[in-house]
Amino acid sequence: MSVVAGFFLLGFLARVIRSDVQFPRSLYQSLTLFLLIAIGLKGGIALRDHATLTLGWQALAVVAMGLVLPLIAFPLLSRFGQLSREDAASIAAHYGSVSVGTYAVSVAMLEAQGIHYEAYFPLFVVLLEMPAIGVGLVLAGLRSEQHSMRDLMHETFCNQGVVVMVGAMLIGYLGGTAVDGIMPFFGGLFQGVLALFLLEMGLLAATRLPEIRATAPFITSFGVVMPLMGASLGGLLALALGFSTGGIALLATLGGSASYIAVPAVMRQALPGANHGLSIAASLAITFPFNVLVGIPLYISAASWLQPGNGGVL
Amino acid sequence: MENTQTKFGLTCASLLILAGAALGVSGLADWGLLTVGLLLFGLCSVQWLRQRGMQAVSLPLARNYHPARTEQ
Repeated sequence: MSVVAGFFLLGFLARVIRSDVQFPRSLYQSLTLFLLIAIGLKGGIALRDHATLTLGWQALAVVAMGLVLPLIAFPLLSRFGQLSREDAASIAAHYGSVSVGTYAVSVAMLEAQGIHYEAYFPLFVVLLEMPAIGVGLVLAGLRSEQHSMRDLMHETFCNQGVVVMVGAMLIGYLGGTAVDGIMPFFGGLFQGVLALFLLEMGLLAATRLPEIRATAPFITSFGVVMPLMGASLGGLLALALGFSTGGIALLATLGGSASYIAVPAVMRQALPGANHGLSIAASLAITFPFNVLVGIPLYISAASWLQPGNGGVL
Repeated sequence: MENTQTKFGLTCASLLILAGAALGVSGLADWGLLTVGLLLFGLCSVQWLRQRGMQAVSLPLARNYHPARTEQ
């Protein structure tokens, strides 16, 4: 088990045994900003060297994956889970989108194992945030007169994750060598900050766990099986696109992760009748821990098996 | 409704156990997937038994219920 995943377990256990571990809300917000900037900057620097037409095609394929994932999740949720249309659409949107935290853990594990990856992946993280939201709203049968489309668009494209990461990517891309001056802070402290972030995520996950009690067998199964299906799709797509071992593991991670920050904010506004506690609990208390503890090591092993000896391009 | 959900859970758990065991034996991954599958199977089995238990109690009660007899 990786060191950062150990901090997640520590936070989880601390909440389970009712320890009084306190994590200031403002610190959590600061850590989130740090991770978004660090990931964005790194992606921007990598984009300087890899802004080619091929990248455009890869980006289109990744967006297509973001459109397909909620379409896989929705029938499972409505048919087997027998959830209402709004609940199923909301959860499907969560599972079609991505989690920056899960991506950060995957990057940390790849770097700890010395596996290289395409460093421009933050571009795909940003791109994958949005398509699932649109599909989710269509699946819920949302009509434009019901809600202010302007507000929804604003929430979708101007949420913290998208703005900060795109901004940091642009700074990294345009900043040239001047960016190197701040990289010791954002690059060197990445693993330590991620450990603190995961401690808080462990506390949060354990707090959310009781919310799934009513539908525990189904939502737990879905929260484990859907990431595996998404990761398989992501991994195979990455293989088809010719990514390195690390790239396959990262796209599998993105396919297998579920949003717990950006999508909940949009869905709360767009589908006020949906059970938002259930969707956040599923992504945060089931899928996130599963990915951190079991999924990501599995995706990395599978990527190494699919693409043996291909260490990457960077 | 709960029955469909539990059946889905049991099916997923069985698939996870099979996949986890296959991956563990082949050395492709550690036993994490198998552990998750077993935990999920336990959770779904408890739920299934609880549902069966409730049916076992409620069905005979419903069968013996006669409004006329109750009125007397």
